[in-house]
Amino acid sequence: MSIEIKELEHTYNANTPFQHAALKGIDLEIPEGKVTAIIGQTGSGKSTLVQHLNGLLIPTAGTLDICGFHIQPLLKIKDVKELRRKVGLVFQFPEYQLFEETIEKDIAFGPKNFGTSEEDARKLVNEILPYVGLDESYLERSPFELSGGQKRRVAIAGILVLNPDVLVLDEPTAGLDPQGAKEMMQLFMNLNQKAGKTVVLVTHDMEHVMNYCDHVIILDHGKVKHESNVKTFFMHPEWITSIGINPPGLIRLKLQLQKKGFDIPTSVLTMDELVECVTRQVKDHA
Amino acid sequence: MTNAIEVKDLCFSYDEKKTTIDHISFSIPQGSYTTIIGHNGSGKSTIAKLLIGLLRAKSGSIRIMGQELTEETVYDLRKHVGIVFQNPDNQFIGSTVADDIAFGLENHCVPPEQMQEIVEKSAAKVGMTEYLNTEPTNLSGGQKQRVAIAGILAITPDIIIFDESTSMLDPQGKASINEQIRQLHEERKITVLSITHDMEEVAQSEYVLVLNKGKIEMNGSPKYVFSNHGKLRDMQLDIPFALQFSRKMQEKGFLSIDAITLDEVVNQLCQLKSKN
Repeated sequence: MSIEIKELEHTYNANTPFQHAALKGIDLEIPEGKVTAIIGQTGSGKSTLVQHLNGLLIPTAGTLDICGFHIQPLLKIKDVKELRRKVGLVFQFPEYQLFEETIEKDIAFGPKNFGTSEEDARKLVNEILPYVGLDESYLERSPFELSGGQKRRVAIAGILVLNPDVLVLDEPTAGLDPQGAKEMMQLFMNLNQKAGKTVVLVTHDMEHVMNYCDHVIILDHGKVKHESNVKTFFMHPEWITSIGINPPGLIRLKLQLQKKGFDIPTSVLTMDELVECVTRQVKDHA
Repeated sequence: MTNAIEVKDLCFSYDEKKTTIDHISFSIPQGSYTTIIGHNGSGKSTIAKLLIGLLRAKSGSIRIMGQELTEETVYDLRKHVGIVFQNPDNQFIGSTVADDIAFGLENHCVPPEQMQEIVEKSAAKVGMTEYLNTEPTNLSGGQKQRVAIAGILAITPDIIIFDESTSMLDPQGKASINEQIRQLHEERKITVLSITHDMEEVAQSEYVLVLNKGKIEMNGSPKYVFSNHGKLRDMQLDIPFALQFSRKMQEKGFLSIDAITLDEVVNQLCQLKSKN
């Protein structure tokens, strides 16, 4: 079942001098089993929107249907507690939220909080470790001894261990070194392809949007500016640039080459396709 | 050319167990644009903190603009070196933009009657003039980073260190800060030392230091550093898109020289097209 958002609004501090409308009527369908990117400038409402997906925020108007829950204004937190198990939300820089003295305890905190026994929680932790590329030797170590990238894996394991159907990630690769970022994205791809998880990704990295995502949503001043399939999106690079998005390297190279008289069809969207298209044209001149 | 920074045999560790900086030596020419790259935990930020005297080295020496960094000289030397950190929220001190920019000046005992003018000039340089009386909560991350840069410009340093200063910003914020850095470097000949994971920025710098597990693994021009792709990959790093493309073309028997920026790739292809 996909996620359906209808006329959703969120106003912070309503009826006070600090009133701020962060979301101003969002209509969206986020497809099930796909990887969806949410992009937009700082302050466009991305984080506010994703915090609705697991009931951390309740809309001030409109509705949200997700994993069998119908979310509408004035719902109580206790009504959505179970939703938090089904939708895992990973904040930006999740490593700052680690707090337990061992990695095992930190990852087991979620299941125990939902009433799982100590023993079962331990089993779950052991099962989840390989998914994030860590082994049992880490269990007894303090999470604070780890590098930034490893800490982030532990924090993500703490969400995955609840076996959510939907995984929402707020800029999961920010600050990671290039290979670390690649491995992190690979992890989400595996969860999507092998375990069938729906993945929602807030990101600024257009390379990731192009290489890993199926669907893209642009938010702008609390409204949906654009929504489409990723391929279709990158077929219109001039438009992308005109709305202030820096397209991925491949798309920028395509644009530059087109300006210099190379004939490159809009359908060319991978490195191999571009290499092939360009070699054909330099060869033709021989 | 004289060196803005000279580091000799520097060692540092946070605790007994692990050496974070392991006998590092390097020098950075005055007026250059140098990037430092390395995996998470390689010691990049530690070096930055050592250079501005926030951390004290276990052994070895640091010279800033020819003068040795010691407990006695550290406050004096901070007039020469400014730093912009990663998180825009962690470095805002003032209650307004103007207060924040003035903070460094107060620290350096600039007479109040001169402050106003310096603050306004510095804000103008980063395009924040209309925000002088704005509170930090009403600024975006990119704007806060620009204020941080203005605060540094106010004390007119010779060297500015950027420690992943754009990694928490959106693409527009990032582009505007990068443009700001480039201008400072070109127009005011400020020595820039930028710690980054952005390989496109590295490709445009003049000199690259590659850190690995607390040691300098490689240093040299971006072209030289990127020519060791395998080694970079082993160190959790990568090469820019332009070079990936260039290598693919080379595999097919076209292009014989590495291109590391998109402009270079385009130029090479145009030449090839017209030659044929």
